Amino acid sequence: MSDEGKALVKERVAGRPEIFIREWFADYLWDLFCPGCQTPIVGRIVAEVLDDLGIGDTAIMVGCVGCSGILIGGFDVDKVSPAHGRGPDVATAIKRIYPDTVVFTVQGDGDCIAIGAGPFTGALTRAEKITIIMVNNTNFGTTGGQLGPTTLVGQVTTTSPDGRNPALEGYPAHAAEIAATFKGCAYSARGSLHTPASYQKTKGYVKKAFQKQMNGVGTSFVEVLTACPTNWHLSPVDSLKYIEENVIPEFPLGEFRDVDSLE
Amino acid sequence: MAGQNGSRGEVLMAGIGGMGVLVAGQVLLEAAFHSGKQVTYIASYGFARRGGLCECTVIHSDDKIASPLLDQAQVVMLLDSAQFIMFEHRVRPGGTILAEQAGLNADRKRKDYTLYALPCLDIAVKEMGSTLGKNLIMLGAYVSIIGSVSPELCEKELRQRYEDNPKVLQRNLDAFRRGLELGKNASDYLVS
Amino acid sequence: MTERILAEGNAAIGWGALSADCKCFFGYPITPQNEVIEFLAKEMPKRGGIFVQSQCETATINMLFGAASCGVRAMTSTSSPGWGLMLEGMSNLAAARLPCVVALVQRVGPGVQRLTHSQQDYNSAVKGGGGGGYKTIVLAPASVQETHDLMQVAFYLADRYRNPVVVLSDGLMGHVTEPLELRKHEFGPLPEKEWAVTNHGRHPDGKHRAIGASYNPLKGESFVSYLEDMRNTYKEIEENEVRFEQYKTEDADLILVGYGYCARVAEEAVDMARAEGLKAGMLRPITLWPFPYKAIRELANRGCKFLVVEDSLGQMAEDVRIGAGETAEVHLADVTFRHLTSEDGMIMPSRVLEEIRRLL
Repeated sequence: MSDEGKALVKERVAGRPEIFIREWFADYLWDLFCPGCQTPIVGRIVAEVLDDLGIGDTAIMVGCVGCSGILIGGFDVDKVSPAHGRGPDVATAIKRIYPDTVVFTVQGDGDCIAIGAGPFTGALTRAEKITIIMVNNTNFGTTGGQLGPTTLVGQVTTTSPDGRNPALEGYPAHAAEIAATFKGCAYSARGSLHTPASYQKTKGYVKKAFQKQMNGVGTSFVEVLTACPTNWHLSPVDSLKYIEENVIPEFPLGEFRDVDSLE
Repeated sequence: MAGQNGSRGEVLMAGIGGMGVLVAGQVLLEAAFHSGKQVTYIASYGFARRGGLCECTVIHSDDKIASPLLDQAQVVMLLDSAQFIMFEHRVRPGGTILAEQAGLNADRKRKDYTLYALPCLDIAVKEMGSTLGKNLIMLGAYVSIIGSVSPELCEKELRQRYEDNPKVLQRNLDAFRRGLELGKNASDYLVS
Repeated sequence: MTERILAEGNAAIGWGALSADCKCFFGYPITPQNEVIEFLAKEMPKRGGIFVQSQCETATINMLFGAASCGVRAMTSTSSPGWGLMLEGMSNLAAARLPCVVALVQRVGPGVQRLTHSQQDYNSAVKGGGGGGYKTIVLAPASVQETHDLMQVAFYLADRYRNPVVVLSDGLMGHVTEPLELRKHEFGPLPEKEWAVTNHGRHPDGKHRAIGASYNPLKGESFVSYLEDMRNTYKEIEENEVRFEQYKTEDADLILVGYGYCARVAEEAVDMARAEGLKAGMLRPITLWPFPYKAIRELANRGCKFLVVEDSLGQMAEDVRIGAGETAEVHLADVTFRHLTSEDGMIMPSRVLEEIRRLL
């Protein structure tokens, strides 16, 4: 990117929230994320919420492996990047050591409920007071667009070249609904980013999720539907349409669990 | 190391799970420990359960103990004499086997050790009304016959172990003391 | 007055952790180390420590990663099949240079089903089983007291070198009961863990902290220099941390080499041999990495023969061969020496004595 471009990114894109590392975004935003990818927007929402709640300085972030795992580089917080899927385990330990500190993960769909299904349900079972943000782009993006647990029936991926076939590949997994079945879950919601209004709503869900942790209730979870133009083989604009017409019908938006006490 | 050098005692206890083999071993272990000796205790644990074979080895010494595992021990204590054939070779030459009298078929392949057939089960049932406690009768006999650990320390350990259950404690003390008595007349139970 | 108690080897792992002021324990049930997690489930909360039973061993090793990232003393324990699940985590811990302790209580393998003791994880533990080629200090206690004491050494060395340390036990060592003096050892001063993640906000240097499970080019170092740094640390460990014990080796013609329960058996066999006038001795490695190659080479140069006593098909034997050199005679009393062919079999002193007689 040009130096002017970088300066623009520093000021306009990463100028706020405070916990963004402006130089990182300037240097890496364009290089590491595909055009039209909405993962960085999830990053922005999380960063804004941490800023708004005034916890950005002491919060501890746990990353993942995948497109969402790239985000952690741009966050100016104390942070740990673990192995694929293991975020909730790592976060468990950190939260037990620092129970008064906000500890959160940002994970992709594969990281969270394919390889991460064990850590995911383990944390919910133990009612760990952490916040898990799952970025759902319906495929394993970083590795080239393979079938993932949230891939839609009929969706073509590199490992479901004829489209996801239920007889062989089953059906999409619904993490937000799954989380909501756990008694240890304080909050579970699903949002999207395909319109400005949906952005605001999703930010509201994320804020609530962090607030649940600050109130010491239980595990909080937000699933965010995001576009993946590269692996959907769609333009960025068409990807947003795809979310509205295909993804949301399969993955309804809203809050699935919202309690102020686990008892 | 090898043999009875006065300060070293070795006993291999064997029986069926549920007979209290390990309890007997642990009481002995604790008593020896509290007399300030070096001790080791190891039990077979693979599938330890009621009805399964069960054994433990207790060694105590004033000196350092090398292996907690012994091919042969100075004393072999059998709570289940059906295992006599399996355990006869585990006693050192010049050692002693204390075997439960009931069910003992003393088809001896060696004569270089002393064999006692002690009626622990019989005493337990006839004098104490249950098969429970036969392990402590046998332990009492051991303490009497071999004399390597003080009976007082054994009783102290029993008191600690069963302090929450006075009835069981009394039964166990009675059994142990009955065993001490039995051991004093051990020569009546020698098997040639 | 130091307290003197009776304890099993597995409990001594726990006692040692407590003596080292370990703050976190993460565990999962697996025979034959369940006594470790049960002991610490009771004792950790009593002392304000953290105990979490996770959903599996991949979880415990990653919880350990999290805790170690915070710079607190933390550990886990497991047995062979669980160890296999932890290998990715070990690699990550080594990559991130995180201090922590993993106790491995070996059982029969390879595979899953059987529950009794063995010494078959030597290669995996000592050579590093996870991807990437890394090293962790491996300490091998041969008594309940030593288990307790080496646990403290483990935490110290982990902190000192910023590396995971493995304490390698086995099902027999875990279940032998012996006297234990609960003495807290003093070690030298340790550097501050300024690299650790905390909840204090910005660190004194004005920056935040990042810990990653792999080499990170964005941190400004080159891949090659990252590995060279690692190698320098390993070299320092090899030069300073080799530990072993020699028993009656001064005039010995045959040196038995064993660790863990086999060292106790070997020691008994040496005593039995000496009683028959046979000049046997024993070298007992206490660190399996760094391995006492030099001490073995000195004995080989003196013309000694070696008899490795090891409850496996022969893994440490390879390191003994390396140490002794091509021309030395190295024999092996291995798993086939067990007194029973079932998994309850053990290598017993008299069988080893037979071999000593044969060789001398």
